[in-house]
Amino acid sequence: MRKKWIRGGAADLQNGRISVNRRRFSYAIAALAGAVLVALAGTGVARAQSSSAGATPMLTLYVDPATGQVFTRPGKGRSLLTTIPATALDPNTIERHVEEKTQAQLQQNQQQLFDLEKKNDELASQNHQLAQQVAEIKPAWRDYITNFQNKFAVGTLVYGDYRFYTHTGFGPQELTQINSPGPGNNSFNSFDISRAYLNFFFFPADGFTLRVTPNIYRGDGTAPADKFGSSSAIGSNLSGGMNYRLKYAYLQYSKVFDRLSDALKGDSIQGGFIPNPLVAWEEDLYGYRYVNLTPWNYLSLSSTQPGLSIAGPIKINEKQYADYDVGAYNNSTFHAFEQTNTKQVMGRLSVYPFGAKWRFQGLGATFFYDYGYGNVAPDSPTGTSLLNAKTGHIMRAAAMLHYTAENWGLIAEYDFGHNAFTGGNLFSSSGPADYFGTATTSYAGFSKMTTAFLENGNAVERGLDFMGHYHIPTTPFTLFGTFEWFQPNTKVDNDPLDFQRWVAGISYQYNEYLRFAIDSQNLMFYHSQRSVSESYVNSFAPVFSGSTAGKSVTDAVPRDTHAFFINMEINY
Amino acid sequence: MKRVIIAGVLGFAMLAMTGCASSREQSQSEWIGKTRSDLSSEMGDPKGAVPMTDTGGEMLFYSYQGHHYVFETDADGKIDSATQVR
Repeated sequence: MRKKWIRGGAADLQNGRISVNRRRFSYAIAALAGAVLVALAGTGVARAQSSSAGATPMLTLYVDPATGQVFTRPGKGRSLLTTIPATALDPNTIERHVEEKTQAQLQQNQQQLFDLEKKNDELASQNHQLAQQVAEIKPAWRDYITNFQNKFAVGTLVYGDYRFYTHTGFGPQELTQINSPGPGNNSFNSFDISRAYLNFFFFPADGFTLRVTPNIYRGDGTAPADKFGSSSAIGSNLSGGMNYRLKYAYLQYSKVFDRLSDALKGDSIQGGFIPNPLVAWEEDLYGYRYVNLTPWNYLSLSSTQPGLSIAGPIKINEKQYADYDVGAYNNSTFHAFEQTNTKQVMGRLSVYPFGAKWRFQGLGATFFYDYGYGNVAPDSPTGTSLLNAKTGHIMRAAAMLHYTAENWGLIAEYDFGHNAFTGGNLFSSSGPADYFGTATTSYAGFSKMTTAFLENGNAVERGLDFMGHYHIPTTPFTLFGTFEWFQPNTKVDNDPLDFQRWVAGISYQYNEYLRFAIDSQNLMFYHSQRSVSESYVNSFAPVFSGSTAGKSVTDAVPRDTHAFFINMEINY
Repeated sequence: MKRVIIAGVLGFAMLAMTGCASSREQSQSEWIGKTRSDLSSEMGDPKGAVPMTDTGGEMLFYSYQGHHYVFETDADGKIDSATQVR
């Protein structure tokens, strides 16, 4: 685009000469007029253009057609171009016009501001509406989370301890997953974690509960190294480390009889890896499982069985008068695979004759019965049946009287069984190397005697137990204790394996999640030390070959075990 | 042995009679469905807490404002039994 120009300012006008682009002549005229008048008004130079006083001042313009120049004075070669009334170019008028234009611009700007303000208000309103919508959305989001929380629960239960043995000996485990060496290892001590439940509960629908609880176990035992290539191998890492395995995994439906009767409300069916009817229930009744095992659990009965059961309270007018649990289970425990073509049945019935307002409250009487078989495949050699109770039937029974009050509880239990306590159970903490076939030691005869007395297929067990606790009022301390007297085979005269176990201690409730206890745990084979003739042992099972005349098992009574424990429970 | 068993039975019978005579339990149904966190907020730490291995719940023993309570929670931590015992 070409530049348009007007040369000069007031000085050029005084010379009466203005340069204008020819092609935009008409526009230039108007602009020039305005500029000239403004200049004249400011300087008073317009005298030559003025008419007589009182008349309207006029501005006369001349043009040189040859050059296209415009002049304010006549001259040679110039012709009249136009005459403009000065009023038309009055500065006031121009100012007014400018003011009007400015005013119009202001009004336009104000209108735009108004429009913007209006739009802003509309946006603010929309934002408010959006905020309301978000607020309405939020409860739905919360509801989803709440709903999820209501369907899922996670918890943990951890037992830990430190234990010091003033006297070590063969015997059952004081707690699962802990072991101690046999005689001759006094002052043995250890820090342990004996339980680390991870409890997962899922509630997929009303009345349904899915529970999955892995728990630790110690990977004891020795495995051969793995061959790795033609000339290399990798050592076994089964070094007694703690591993996780499934403890509970079951589905429970707890509205089985809700429509039948109010008395049976809450009764449930469970299937999977489930708590058996006695052990877990009795642990809850006793309340100090983190310190020691309950009697049948200490002896042989696992706390968990794969199977199917039905259980629940019987309540009338909000009082519980009975509590039952009955089911069919594998003969194997939860940590072994099933080998039998039979199953075992277990049942427990607890009666509260005066009605219990809360679980276990008041006087209760409980009877438990278990009948099953050893976990042996059907085609196993029958020749071992006399020596191995696993191939015979197994029976366990318990009759209990218990009383539970707010601050104290007492349990008296009578146990009775058949083939329910083997050498493997007696030596679950540690036993003679001879029993496990890893070495021949001075306990070889004792080991054979134990096998003959306990694994002959006709053993009869009997026991009497007392458990209890007393909470010291206004303190966080509770005294507790367990006494167990057990005869592994009542058919053996003065059975050297008869024992008494007693546990006594004090528990400290730190807060709702933490408990500590300090206690003494003792296993005493209470008969006087003596010898047992091999011929007498062979009358139960022929474990000694050849002539037994004059031969005997010396030191047939095992040594006692005495230990101090500091226990800890974390429950969340 | 028979003497021990008979003595035990008699002892329990006496305990039962004593317990029943002093029984003043009252249901606290307003707590049913609340959580153990709600309990802690109002009553603080329990004087006793025993995890229930078989149910996954807990027995909670409280002493609060001169009264004594026993609560049982379910696996979800919600109270399903509440009794004022004293």
